[in-house]
Amino acid sequence: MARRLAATEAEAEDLVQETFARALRAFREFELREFGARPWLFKILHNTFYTHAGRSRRQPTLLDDVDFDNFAAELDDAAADDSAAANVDWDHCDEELKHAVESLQPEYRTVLLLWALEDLSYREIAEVCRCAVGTVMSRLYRARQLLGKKLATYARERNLRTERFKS
Amino acid sequence: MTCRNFRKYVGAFADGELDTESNAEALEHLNICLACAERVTEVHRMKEALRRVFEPEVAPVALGARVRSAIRTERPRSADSARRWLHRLVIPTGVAAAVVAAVAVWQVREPSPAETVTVAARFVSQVQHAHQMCCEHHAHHHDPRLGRDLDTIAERLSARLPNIRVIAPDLEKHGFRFHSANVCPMMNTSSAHLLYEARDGRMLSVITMAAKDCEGVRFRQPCESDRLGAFVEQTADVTVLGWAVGCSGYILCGDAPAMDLYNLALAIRDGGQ
Repeated sequence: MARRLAATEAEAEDLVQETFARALRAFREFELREFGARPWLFKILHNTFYTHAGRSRRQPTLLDDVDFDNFAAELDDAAADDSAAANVDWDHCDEELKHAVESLQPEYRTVLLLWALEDLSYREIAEVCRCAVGTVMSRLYRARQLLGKKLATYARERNLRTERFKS
Repeated sequence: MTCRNFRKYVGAFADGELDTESNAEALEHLNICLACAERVTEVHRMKEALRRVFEPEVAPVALGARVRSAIRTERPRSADSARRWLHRLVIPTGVAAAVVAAVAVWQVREPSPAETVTVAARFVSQVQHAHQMCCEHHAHHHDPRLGRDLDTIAERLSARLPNIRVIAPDLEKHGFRFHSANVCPMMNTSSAHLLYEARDGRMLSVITMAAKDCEGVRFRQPCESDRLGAFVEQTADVTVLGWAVGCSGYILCGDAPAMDLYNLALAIRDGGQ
């Protein structure tokens, strides 16, 4: 996760070191609850990343950072159109997928990676990101939509290039 | 539930994050809507693709030493701090060592039936937790359209649940009479909740999962699971037992005799699929 958040390997290593150091300092405050230590460590990692020098301004402040119930109520048919993802060939778009994820806003990227790679539940992700479960849902929804659209665009462009090459 | 509604909650459904009632509604909708079933598949495929693309990176060997060294420099020096360290480091380390030792012992020694049941029960609890499964027989879980005849059910569900014919005879062989089929809230559509009646009249739930779902929650090796131990069993009077066969999980839960279930699990294990 550190490697996905940080820009460089060295930065990721610093992040891991700082995370463990902070965890050690905060160990007395740690309560073993139903989720165990893992989300707690992710939370420290997440906070360390965002509070690191020069990053404080990047703390999650999305304009659309709304609870899912409100978010879902506002969705109209156009917004809820998820047909883009259906056109994606997920087995043959590794590079594009990597770029698409990296181009996502950090708030979306974090939630997406905690969901897909770390397999955290929505409650655990909410705990890590210090936001409501509904916010996690809305961010995940938007992140998946954005990914679908970006990859569908890549696919269209690739087809166009192939067509040009053929002609 | 309409398609428009389902689209909003497709992710939550695919992740098993809907509550029981909403999940049942979603399942009902999926029974009649192929397009929405495809949307669920898309979510799973996206997750699989992300996992494939972002494979776990191995931390550099030097990083471990660097972190340990950094932690050592944080070591407090006063007597009070030393006591705190005893609490912070020695006790958690002791607990960790005990866990490691317990796991090691569990791995090298043939477990007794009672131990197996305990380990399996924790395994099932973990799976239940991960999938937000139920272990109660709510009325709305029963789908009258599925009927009570096993052949009919197998026909209806075979596309989704290819091993249904395998597990059912095994259960009948052990004295469990098929009772009815239920739809059990889970994270996906390829699941069913079969209800059996034990010899003494008590009910037994059988939940089967497709291989792909087992891969999704990474529970082939319970001791390696991050979620193991994070779930507290909700009712003391429910006997739960699970058995992993290859990459398929057989989950049996309900109020049934533990030894019968244990023997059944052995039969499934030894008989293969």
